[in-house]
Amino acid sequence: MKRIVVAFLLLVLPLSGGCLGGVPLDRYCYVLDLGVERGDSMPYRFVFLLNEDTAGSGEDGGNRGEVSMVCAEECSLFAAIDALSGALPAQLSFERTTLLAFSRELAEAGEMEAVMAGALSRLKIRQNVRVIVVEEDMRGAFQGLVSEGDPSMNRLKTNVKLFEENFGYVEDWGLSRVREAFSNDTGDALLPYAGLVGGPLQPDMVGGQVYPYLGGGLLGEGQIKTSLCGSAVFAGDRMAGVLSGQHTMLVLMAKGTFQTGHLRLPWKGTELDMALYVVGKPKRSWQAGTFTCEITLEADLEHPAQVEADSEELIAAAESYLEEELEQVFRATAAAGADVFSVGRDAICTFYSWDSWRAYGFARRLQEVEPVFRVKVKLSHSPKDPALE
Amino acid sequence: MNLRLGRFGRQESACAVGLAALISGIFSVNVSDTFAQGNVCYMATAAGALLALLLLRLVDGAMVRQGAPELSDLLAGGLKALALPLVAGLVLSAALPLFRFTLVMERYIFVEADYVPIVLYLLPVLLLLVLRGMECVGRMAKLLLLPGALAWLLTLLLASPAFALYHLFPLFSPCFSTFLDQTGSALLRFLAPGLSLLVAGRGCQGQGNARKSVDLGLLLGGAGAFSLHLGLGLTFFGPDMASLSAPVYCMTMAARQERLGLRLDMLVLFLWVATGLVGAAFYLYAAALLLCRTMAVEDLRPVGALLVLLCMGLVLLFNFDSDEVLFAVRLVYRWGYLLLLVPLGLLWGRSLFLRRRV
Repeated sequence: MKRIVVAFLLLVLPLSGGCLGGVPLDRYCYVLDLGVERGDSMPYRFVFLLNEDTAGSGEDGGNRGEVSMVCAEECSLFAAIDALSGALPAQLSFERTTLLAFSRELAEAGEMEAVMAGALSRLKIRQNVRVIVVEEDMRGAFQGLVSEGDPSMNRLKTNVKLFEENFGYVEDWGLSRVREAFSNDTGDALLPYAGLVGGPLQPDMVGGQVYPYLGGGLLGEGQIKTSLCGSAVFAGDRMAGVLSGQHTMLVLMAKGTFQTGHLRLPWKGTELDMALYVVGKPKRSWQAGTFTCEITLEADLEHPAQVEADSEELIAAAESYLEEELEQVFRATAAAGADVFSVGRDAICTFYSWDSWRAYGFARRLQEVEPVFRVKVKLSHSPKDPALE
Repeated sequence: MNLRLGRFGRQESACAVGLAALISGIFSVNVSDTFAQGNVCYMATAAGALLALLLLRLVDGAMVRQGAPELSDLLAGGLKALALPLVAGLVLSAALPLFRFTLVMERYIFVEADYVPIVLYLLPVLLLLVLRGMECVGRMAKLLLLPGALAWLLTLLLASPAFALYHLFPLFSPCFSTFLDQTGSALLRFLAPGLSLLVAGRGCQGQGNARKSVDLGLLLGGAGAFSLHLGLGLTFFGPDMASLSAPVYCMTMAARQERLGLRLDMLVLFLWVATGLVGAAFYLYAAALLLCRTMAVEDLRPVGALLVLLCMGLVLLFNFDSDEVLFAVRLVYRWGYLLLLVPLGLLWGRSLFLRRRV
């Protein structure tokens, strides 16, 4: 009798937990990507790229042909979900969301945190979801990323990794890091920047380049109509400008996250293409308002036999060019109040309490920081020592 | 007599103490207060574990002096009332991590469910474990050693790409008095596991075995908790952590992950929950046994069931949104260790003046 009672109680207990709700467990519309831009009638327009759950579907875009895009204009994400709930065949789920995209307009207005606050954790959006900034027209940008062979915008996510690891043109940022950068003075966010192909060629906040590699302004065109390159630079929680892919690469070198990339080195009226590889971590230090960063790189000339110079001259030119460029990028971003080199991380290590750190007000003093960049380049395939193919 | 003590060895008892210490050490922390002014919690955790080990050695010495095989034997001779704060301390030690787990599950996993039904799911597991007795708890702890270790390892591995030394700075913020405060609070987390085994010492094949199990379990559990707190400190700034309801869960999502890593956070959480349930059952069984021994109750089951319900009631109450409850919860986090420390201090003090009875 006792066992029957216990078994009955154990059976009844789960029923009191709402396990038999009205929503079938296997029927969800999974939001793979979420975009937010300024709305026409309401403050925000939310663009959802959905994947209706079927066997084999997942956040890696394993499912084919089941992707659709819906959007809603509302004051908040919750309100947009409510507005869409009647218009969709199944309940929205954010468990598989891997990308958050914000329009440049919202980023410049500093409204990203307002959109994210509260909503994201309640919707089970993970803290490590990738965050990017889109130049304009979120729907167009999402549409441009969806191709027949890749309906779930998987290519964009692959490109972020590819561009970060092979070129250093973008830095991959998760939501957790973005929020830390928004709320602390220990380094500002540098989010991947995307735009529709065929957009106007725009200079970045440093300038000085004939052809800045920047999302939307790339010259190549293929099936995917949205390109991703360069970075949206933030000062606190507000976007302060854009950095080209080439300048982003320099920032990554100084931050120690650069792996490999290419440099177009001005050389006697022409340009040399130089492949760069990182050698160890940069040595960074902070002392009395001076930020010192020593970077060691290995370089490889694409066509060493065509260069009529000895290695020392070329090395000196490369080192001097990189040091000047690094300083220019530092001064341009610092002038906009953006600590993209994360100098704050080095500075905070010299403080003994949060009170003294906050009282110091690093963000306010950023423009007074004196940068010293020292670059050492070692040519692995030089004019003197050409590679044998 | 139906005290459900059974017989268990050093491995089972060390696993029970170790897992309970690990769970309490990590999940019985008042996140908002502890990290608001900075992060010294990892240092306080290490100091608290070592201090608890020292204090438990003193209590064990008192038991040896008085020839008491179990802690309840020390309470004989007019000190039975001291069992009440000890029981209260153990029940609170069980309730605090369960409260944290339920909160995390409600906020991050079952977002459409209410808090109460989630607590209801924990109840039968806890009840079953406590009523089956210490041998079952010990064996379950031994079984869950691997999942517990896996949860610890995966948490650190998933968070490791986000580790950065600068998150630990400013190093000496908050000040030394806060460090001492937090070390005191850590005592509740590390005294409870060792104390639980001293209460159930008769089943542990001798007092020597119990002592070694307490030492081993506390050292390993304390080291595990310290390493996770250090990992937390390397992942987040202290003041940022204060606003998180579940830093350890958020830590698994701090770094960008691809494919498999994207989903492991939930798996890790449920490994922690399973381990935490065994840890809580260990405390509650010990509390029930202590009550039975001191009140001469011969059947542990009604007392155990009552304490499980009391613990679940506390888990429900801790989530109650009122200033009085919040104040009480903060008191428990800050001064709860006194519930264990004061009676143990009195028992140790008295043992110095008494002759060995056997």
